[in-house]
Amino acid sequence: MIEFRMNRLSPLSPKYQTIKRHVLRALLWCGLLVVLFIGCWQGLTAYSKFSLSLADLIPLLTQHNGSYPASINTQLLIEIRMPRVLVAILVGANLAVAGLLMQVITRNSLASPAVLGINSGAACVVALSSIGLGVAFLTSTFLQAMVGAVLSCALVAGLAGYFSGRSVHPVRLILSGVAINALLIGITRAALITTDEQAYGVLYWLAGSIANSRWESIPVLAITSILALGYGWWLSPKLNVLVLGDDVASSLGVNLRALQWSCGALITILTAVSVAVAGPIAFVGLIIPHVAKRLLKQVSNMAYEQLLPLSVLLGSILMVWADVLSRAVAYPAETPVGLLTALIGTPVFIALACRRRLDG
Amino acid sequence: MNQRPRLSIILPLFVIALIIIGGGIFIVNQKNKAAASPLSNSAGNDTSQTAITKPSVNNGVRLLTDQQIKERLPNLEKYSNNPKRIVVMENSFLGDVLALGLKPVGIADDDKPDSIITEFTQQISDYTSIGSRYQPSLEAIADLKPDLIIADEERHTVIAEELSRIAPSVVLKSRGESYVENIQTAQLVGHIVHQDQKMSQVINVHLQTMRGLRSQLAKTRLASQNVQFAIVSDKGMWLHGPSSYAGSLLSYLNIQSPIPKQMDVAYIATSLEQLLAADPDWLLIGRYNDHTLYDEWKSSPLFNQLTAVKKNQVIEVDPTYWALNRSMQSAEHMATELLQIAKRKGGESASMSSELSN
Repeated sequence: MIEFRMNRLSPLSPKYQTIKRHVLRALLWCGLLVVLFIGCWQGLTAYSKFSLSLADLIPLLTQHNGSYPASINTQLLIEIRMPRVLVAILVGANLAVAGLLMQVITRNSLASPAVLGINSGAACVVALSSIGLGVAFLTSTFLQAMVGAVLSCALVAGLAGYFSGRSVHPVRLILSGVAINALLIGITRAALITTDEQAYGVLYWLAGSIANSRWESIPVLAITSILALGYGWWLSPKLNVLVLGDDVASSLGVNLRALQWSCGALITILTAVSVAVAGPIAFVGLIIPHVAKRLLKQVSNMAYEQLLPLSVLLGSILMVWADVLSRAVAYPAETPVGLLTALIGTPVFIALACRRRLDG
Repeated sequence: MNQRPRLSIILPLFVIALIIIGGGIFIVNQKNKAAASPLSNSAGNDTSQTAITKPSVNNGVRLLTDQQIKERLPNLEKYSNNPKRIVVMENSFLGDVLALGLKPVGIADDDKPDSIITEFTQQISDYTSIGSRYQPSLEAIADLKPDLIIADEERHTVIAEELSRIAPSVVLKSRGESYVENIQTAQLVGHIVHQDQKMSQVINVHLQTMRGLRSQLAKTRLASQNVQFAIVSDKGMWLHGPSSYAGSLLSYLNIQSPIPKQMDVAYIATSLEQLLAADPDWLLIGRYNDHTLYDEWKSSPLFNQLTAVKKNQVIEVDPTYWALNRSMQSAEHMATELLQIAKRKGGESASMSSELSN
């Protein structure tokens, strides 16, 4: 009987291959979750003048009388480190999925949310507000970045012809993005030149940082992210069809225009809310989809139902670890996390580009 | 096939190596720089070079010797003996020129006359703005037909050649300078306008005043406590470290810093956690915006853990004195302000500069 089963599960048999892929997939997910968990642990406790440990959270579990924990370490973990790690997880997930969707709708593996001018739009309004040219009701950097991101995205979409009622060629979208990006960057620079002392603060924000994350920004970020990511996952079957080409997708009953609009809206929401909280953070949306695809190719078929959650996980891991490293680089001073994602992202992207070129 | 792994591994490794080497060189340079000018009594920009003559120390400030001044400004003959139309491209030079009784015709005031301290505006009745310090208008400067232009090393070195075509110009350190470097720059300004003797007298009077204020401060509670100045805006908080102008002035006044080891960076971007780690006894804040990140921190329970908050020792000061107008005049104002702060009783109003200006 055993011999019979062994024969059936020979390395060449389809069932053996299926089981192997299942095991590999489970190992991949478990491994990545462990990496994320270690990253969160380090994010909560590492590189502090205070000797923080997870044990400092125990009083929270044991105290049930509602009184606030007296220990400064416990307060630091709750008030500063926890929101920071949560922001890193959510922003990483958002940017990764926004990048993935951008690459699907433009069918360009070098596309990222930055193509829609979201980062430069947010930066432009923030810089203009710092020289007193902002709109009066945009009192906080969050609002300024949010409005800038949405407006620039609408501008790119308008220029690309999204509002004309006809189907839009992906290249037109990319070219519009390049043009609007150049315009917005020019305005931002002009604003920065005139700010002088304020320019330092704006430049620091432009580098992207989550060092000053606070609980107040978590509800908006979390609710928006969960809803948008959930909707993105719900769209996955249609995305699977979309990658086969417009004609095939249309013949299979996919409303291309509605799907493009949905994806565009999702990219805008995910990126805008992330930029508003953390500033423009580069490379996450560009490299994570590539890494996710490569990993998934080894263990499963390339279905967006799996690709999207894997991008969420990888994006979170990258941001959480980049944040840990941003504290380590020039400890005790902080380095903006955006610089770290760029430093990590550049060699990874070059490696991916090399492999792709050689594969091709 | 064999090329695949090689290229895809070697190229990223090469980039990583470049980043690490570049970062290493940067860190080593920063450390060397910090080691070369670590204390408030350093001899200026070129202290790492051998001092030819023994520098004179006046009230704890190491001044430049005549020889060092001549070495740094060798071609004095190209500058007018009695300049009448001076353009200053930084507020710190404005203080030096006014101290000699000269009135500049052009000032880079960022088109914000309010950013100039009262001590200066009282002496300048009429001047032309030449735009921002970061991006001054060369046409506006040329239009003024100056006979001397004094520019900032950090901001204006790139346009030094253009400036020298307009008029005899000199590039001196201003942005990022320490208190002692500011006085040494005043010596150089005095030399360039051929008024070394007068500037020397001005500096002596200033240092006498500062010595008096320092000895008064030594008798106050500030002598045994640490004080930190920080700039706050809606984007964040920046501590002015021991190597900054405000930080080095506090050090000159024998007031301790809560972050004495952070010498390499003048302005340190700070989170609430880092502020808690520094935990200054006194926190002096200069606002750049009405609504700042600091105001948001106030709602955090951690904020109340700060010693300065517990003791009601968070004081708002005027950033135009503490950050934007580095000069002997602002140094005296800051020291006087510290004396006022030291005499305050707990619970008093927490805004100082406006009271002093009035």
